[in-house]
Amino acid sequence: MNDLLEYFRLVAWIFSRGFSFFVIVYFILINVVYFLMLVSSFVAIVRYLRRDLFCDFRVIIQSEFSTPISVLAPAYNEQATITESVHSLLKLNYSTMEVIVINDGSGDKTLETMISEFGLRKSHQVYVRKIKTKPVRGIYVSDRPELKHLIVVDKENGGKADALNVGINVSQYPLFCAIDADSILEDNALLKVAKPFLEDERVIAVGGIVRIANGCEIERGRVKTVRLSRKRLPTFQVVEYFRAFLSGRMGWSAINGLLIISGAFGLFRKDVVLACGGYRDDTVGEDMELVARMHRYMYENKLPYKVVFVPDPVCWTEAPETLKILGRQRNRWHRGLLDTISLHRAMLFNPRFGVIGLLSMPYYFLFELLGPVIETLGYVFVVASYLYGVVHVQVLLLFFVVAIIYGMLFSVGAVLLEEISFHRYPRARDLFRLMVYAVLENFGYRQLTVLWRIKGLFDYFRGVTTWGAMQRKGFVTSEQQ
Amino acid sequence: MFIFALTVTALIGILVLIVAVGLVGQKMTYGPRTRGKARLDELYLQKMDPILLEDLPTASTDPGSLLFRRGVKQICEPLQKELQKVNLFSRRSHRRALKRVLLGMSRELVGETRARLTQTFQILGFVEEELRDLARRRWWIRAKACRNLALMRAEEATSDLIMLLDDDEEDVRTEAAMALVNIAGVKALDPLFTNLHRVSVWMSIQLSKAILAMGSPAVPALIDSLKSDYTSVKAFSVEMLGEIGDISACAPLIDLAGSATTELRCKALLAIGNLGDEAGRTVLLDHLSSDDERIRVAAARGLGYLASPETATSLKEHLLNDTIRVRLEAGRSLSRIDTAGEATLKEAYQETDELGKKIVFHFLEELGIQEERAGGSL
Repeated sequence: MNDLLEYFRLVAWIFSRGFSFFVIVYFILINVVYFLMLVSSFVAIVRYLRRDLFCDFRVIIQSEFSTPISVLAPAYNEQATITESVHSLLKLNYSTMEVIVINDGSGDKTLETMISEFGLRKSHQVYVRKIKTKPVRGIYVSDRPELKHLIVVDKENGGKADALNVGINVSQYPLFCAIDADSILEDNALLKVAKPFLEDERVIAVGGIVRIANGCEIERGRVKTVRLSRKRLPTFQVVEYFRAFLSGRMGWSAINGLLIISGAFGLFRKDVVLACGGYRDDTVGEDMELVARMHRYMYENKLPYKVVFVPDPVCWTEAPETLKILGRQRNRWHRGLLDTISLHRAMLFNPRFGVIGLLSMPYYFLFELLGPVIETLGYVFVVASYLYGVVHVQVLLLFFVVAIIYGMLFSVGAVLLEEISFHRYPRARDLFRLMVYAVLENFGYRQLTVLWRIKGLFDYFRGVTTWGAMQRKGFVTSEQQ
Repeated sequence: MFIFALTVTALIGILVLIVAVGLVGQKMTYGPRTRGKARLDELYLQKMDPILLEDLPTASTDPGSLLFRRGVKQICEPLQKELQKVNLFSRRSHRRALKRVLLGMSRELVGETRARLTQTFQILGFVEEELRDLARRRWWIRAKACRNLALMRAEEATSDLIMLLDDDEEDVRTEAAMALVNIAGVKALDPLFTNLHRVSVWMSIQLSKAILAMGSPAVPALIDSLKSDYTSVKAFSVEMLGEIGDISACAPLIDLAGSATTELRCKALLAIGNLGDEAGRTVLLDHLSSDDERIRVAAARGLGYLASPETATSLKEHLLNDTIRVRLEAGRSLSRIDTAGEATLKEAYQETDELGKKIVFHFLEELGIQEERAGGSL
């Protein structure tokens, strides 16, 4: 009996040593990567800001030489907000563009609302099915001169990806901008996101920053005053978005390793997307999957290319304000991530795919996908080690403190990056609150997101493929404020 | 090892804390600093009034004359003396404010007042400063100097600007090109096209505004640049020639349409169509039967720009029988040829397949002819 106990103790000791070593290596690696990303983001943002000084966007608006853009806005059951969203899109500053709203078989009166608001009539526009989609029921245009750039497509329900594919088929311009119909683009957002395409013909996709509009004052589809939400959950997400966009994507963009362009706001070269076959409609992470496939296509065909992130053109979106909705969103994002990595596993650790195969994909696999699993195992290990007395408590506590401090540093660093560069939050009070939340998110919020992501992994293996209902409260207008 | 890790963490933490506190502090003092800057700008705006508006002591209004320059120098003297009196610590911010004000004015002023401003930049030493900045290591300083020299209309910067057309940084190249065009006008085009190696769409957008404003005088230099070794330079010139619409460019464009790369040939065909010269018609019709689909699309579009009724029959043939891209383009071009085009579209409807009918309907609809109206007669 004693021998058996000794044997278990030995196994536990070996396991604890092995796991400790793994955790320490993983911890050092992840923090080094985060630190490098923060530094490269800082360098890239400073360069971007310097370049911005020499950019007069009025010239693009006035010029006939700017590459024209088709703005694609899929809409599903958005009867209440659709007219305001379309009016807001039509006001975007750009020289030549068309706005294509795709009604994805809404069950409410989304289409009827648009028909009456914009005086639409059915058109005979030729629909060429370059990408296979669900059937199109009709294409609508308006005879009003001010609405000559508006096209509304009515189609059978097929999901966001299918709706975007219909939009690509209908679009006539070489660049298309995929946005969420319920997001708000800033007036100059298209100009800023189009600039990399105008500067370099190798650019195939550009992503813009998505910011959280909760707490901001909105008037006629425009963000009038930028404020932090008084609620805790959206404020935590503001810090998270800063970290993801300003520190993460900016850093990846600097080395041409950007693997995600948010579905809420991205500009793409249509010929490359068509060559890749358009959006996949059998994944919940269609935005990331498309970018991964574009990388793969360009590498496999040995074509020079760039995928760029621009930190300034802003798309405002409403963040979930309840734990339930936020949990669903994070669950879906994680399933999308796993799906993309699984679909493109051939690129993982594959030197044939350069930065993507050797850095981006491994990063997303090891730190983003497996991160929650390893973090949870870490918590379990701490408790188990304490109970079995195999590791010194002081050492564990010290490690825990260092881990938390580094977590705080990267969040505070991302907030600082925002303040140094774009300082969209004009009040010193808001900046101070952001700093405080960057510290607080490590105590509870971060652990919650870890749980949601782990549930996402379980759901993926259980075959869950739904998006999960996303209830939106709607933006706060001036009157409500 | 942990002690080391903790020390490093603590140090980074302290550093981040200091930066955070500094930034919050900076944000709190942003308002007063901006107000101080605005006050200084206002002060120099007022001080410029006598320089720009008072009569010159030398009574000369010819900006090129020595007398004029002397006159401006005399009325600038009080301002120079005032700047000398400012203590060394504040002098830099005062000079910056004055330069800001002068550059702001230079965007709006014309005529004799503008000439006085150009002289003022020289007299106060701002041109010399910017010329020094053209050679600086940091690219953004070089780019800014190019922009400022253009606003200062500093002709002495021309040779330095030509050298910067080959700079490693795109922004510096663009600013140098813009500065050259703004300072020297049409005279800048020859050196510009000789020294430019790459014209991005972004640079095209910036340059096109100035070149299109020059109009026909820019055409000879643009035609010369069609011989450039660089495709992007040639492509830009082709587009400009098409937009300016001077028919003297027709023959060189026809030559290019027969010899260059596919991309350039397409651009040349569009430009030929844009010129609206009947001499280009035969060339466009010839290219309509090219083996390359992209060339046929460009030729069809070019014929649409030309909008000559004589081309309607050929366009109809391609509307009836070609790839979908060419058929769409032929339909679009027919819709641009007024009544002859409309009649041909209606004729084509009788002879075409389902897709052709859809294309015809689509373009008739764009002409304002609805299905109900067209239905019976078609």
